[in-house]
Amino acid sequence: MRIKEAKIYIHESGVSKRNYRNTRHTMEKVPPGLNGMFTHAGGLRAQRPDEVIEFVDDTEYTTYRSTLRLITDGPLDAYAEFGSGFHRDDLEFGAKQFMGDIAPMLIDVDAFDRELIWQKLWYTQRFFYTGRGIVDKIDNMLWDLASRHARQPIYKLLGACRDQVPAYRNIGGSNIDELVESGVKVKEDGFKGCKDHSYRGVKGNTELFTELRAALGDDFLLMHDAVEQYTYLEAVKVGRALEKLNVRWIEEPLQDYDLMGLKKLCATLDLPVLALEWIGAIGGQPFNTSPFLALQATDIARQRGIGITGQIKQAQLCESFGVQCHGGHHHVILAVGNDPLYESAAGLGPLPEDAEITCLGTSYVEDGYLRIAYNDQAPPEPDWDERGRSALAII
Amino acid sequence: MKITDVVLHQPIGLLRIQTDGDVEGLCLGVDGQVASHIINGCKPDLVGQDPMDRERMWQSLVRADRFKYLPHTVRGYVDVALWDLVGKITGISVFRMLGGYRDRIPCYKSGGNLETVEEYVADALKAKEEGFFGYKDHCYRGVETMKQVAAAVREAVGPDFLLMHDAVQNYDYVDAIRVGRALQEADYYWFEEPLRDYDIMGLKQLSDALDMPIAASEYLPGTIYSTSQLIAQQAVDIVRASVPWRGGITDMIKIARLAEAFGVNCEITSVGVMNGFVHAHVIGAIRNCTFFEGWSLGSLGGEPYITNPRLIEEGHVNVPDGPGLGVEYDWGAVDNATAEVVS
Repeated sequence: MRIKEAKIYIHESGVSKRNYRNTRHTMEKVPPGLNGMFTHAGGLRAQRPDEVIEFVDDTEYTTYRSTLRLITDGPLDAYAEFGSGFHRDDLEFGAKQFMGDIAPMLIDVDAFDRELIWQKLWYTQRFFYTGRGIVDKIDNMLWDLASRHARQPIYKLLGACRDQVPAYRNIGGSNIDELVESGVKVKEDGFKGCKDHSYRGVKGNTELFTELRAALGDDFLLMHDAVEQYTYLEAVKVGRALEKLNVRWIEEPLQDYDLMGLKKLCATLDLPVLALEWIGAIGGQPFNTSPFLALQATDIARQRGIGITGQIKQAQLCESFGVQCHGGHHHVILAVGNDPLYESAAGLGPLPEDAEITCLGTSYVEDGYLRIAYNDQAPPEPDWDERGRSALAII
Repeated sequence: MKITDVVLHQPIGLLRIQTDGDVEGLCLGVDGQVASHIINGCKPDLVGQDPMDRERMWQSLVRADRFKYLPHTVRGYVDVALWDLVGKITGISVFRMLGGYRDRIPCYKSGGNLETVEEYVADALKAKEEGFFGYKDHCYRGVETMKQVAAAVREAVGPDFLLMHDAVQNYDYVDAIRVGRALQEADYYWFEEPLRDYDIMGLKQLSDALDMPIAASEYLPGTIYSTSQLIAQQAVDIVRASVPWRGGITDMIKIARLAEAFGVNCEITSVGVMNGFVHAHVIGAIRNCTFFEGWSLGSLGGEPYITNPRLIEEGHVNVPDGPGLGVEYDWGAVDNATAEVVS
């Protein structure tokens, strides 16, 4: 099934207001301020009223969206949302750039030759300065196509390893009491564990985890996500405290760039160190994971592989070193044996009774487990004739 | 769909993983010595499973290697039949299930342990004339002969034809470094298995000392887990892998991806089980393998049971299309050659 043509359809997509409020809070020194490092204030206190900056605009602006379609000579095409925004001309220009730079490399390639396309687009990142986004998009589109073709969910095509994985949820709150209360709620909801994003420094976070362990019992999984708030010595100190509280891992204790610091920390602590979210998010996996594994500079690697193809490469690389690889695409998680837990996104809950299940699968979290419901029915294909007629432009 | 039975036609070694659907997974050429291990050791882990749960079965069989003391080729045959099965279920050829990279693979020719320098020269020239992209000797005649072979063959074939030397663990470190210098001088593409695969420190020392790439791990047990140690120590520049000696298709892909992440090539060894079909699919799905290793032009074998054998023609082998491994069988020939169906 060869890709013969690429088209991008631009449509109107309703109206939206352009209000802004700085919900991202601000940056402050990690308490008590001695290490001089800055962190996200949202992880240690509530936003003060005087910090709120808000722009209100009640105008209703027209929005636009673009859809990429890779037309094959077979019965099915690959497609995905390509862009959205307030400016049609920007979407059209982005579509033209895609047609000029990327589309020619896809034409006449078999739609199942994902490895060839992944490799080609990988190197394209460097020469065309595309960033990882286009590799993610095209690879995931082609896996989606394979799923509809085979009438099997992607995790089965990858070779399913399991049908469910225990889930934990992130907790929130602007003080320790609120965080503990959030943890209690997560446990009541059936999750197997919880993870904070508390940036209170060594003393504050030791107190938080002491409280969490007391409130949630000995068997509930606790994970600490530090998001680069410690020095090496602080990480050792908090790590020792967390070891005594039977915490499952410490995540991103140092900057991901600090390969030698992470190596030393892994050697020092019994507590597993999880790293590589940030440099992985920028790109580079699995190639920038390999030195961390070879140097034993992470005990658990973050999954930020590019596309499903990249995520399988990342997970299997880690597996070969006996290292777990956490996070990523739901289908990848169920296709590998080395991701211990699912980090549950807010909003993913039990399977709705009216869920429209197809071979693509619908993820849900129930009884504290991530599962994917699927059947052998293909989803209805888009009516491309109608989309063509209703499009403002087709590039 | 569930796996319902696992049977073996003997003595031809045709493994059949059967299902409650209308498809089955096949692997031809199972070594008779391990047949009983497949039936007694693996079958209990397969029957009743969804064939699409391939990774679960791989994980289970890797653990079974240890607990059941299975020979390390057993899992490879089973894995091949499972890949054939999932390809048939989905209607996709195996290399495109994996994610296709190419459907036509350049080949190099492997030669034998010949007597004289002149014979190596003639063999390499013949390979070049036949359209192969390179030539690999298997010369076990010691340092001085090999040095002469390297110089003479390079002189004969010219600068652009790829040459490899496969020592099959024939040297100690002192000899290996002497041969390596000669190979380097003759611009060889790789130096294969100079020492034992287990000699991590020797391999590392050799890799550090030579500019030319050292290839090893063809016969190393331990699948990805041992290969990662070799690569992390930078003890090899190229890893070798094949079915069934290093596992199945799953193992080959994982090894290739591991190597890729370190910028290392995974050069797939020889024709492999099922007369080139399996290795063609594996190489068809990975970037970091230069070429297919063949021994001669024409059919890679399997007749009369296989009616569409892989062919080396014009220096290339094609990756079979069609569901699964894309093998077409003459079931009359299979039945005629079957003395017993073991289940």
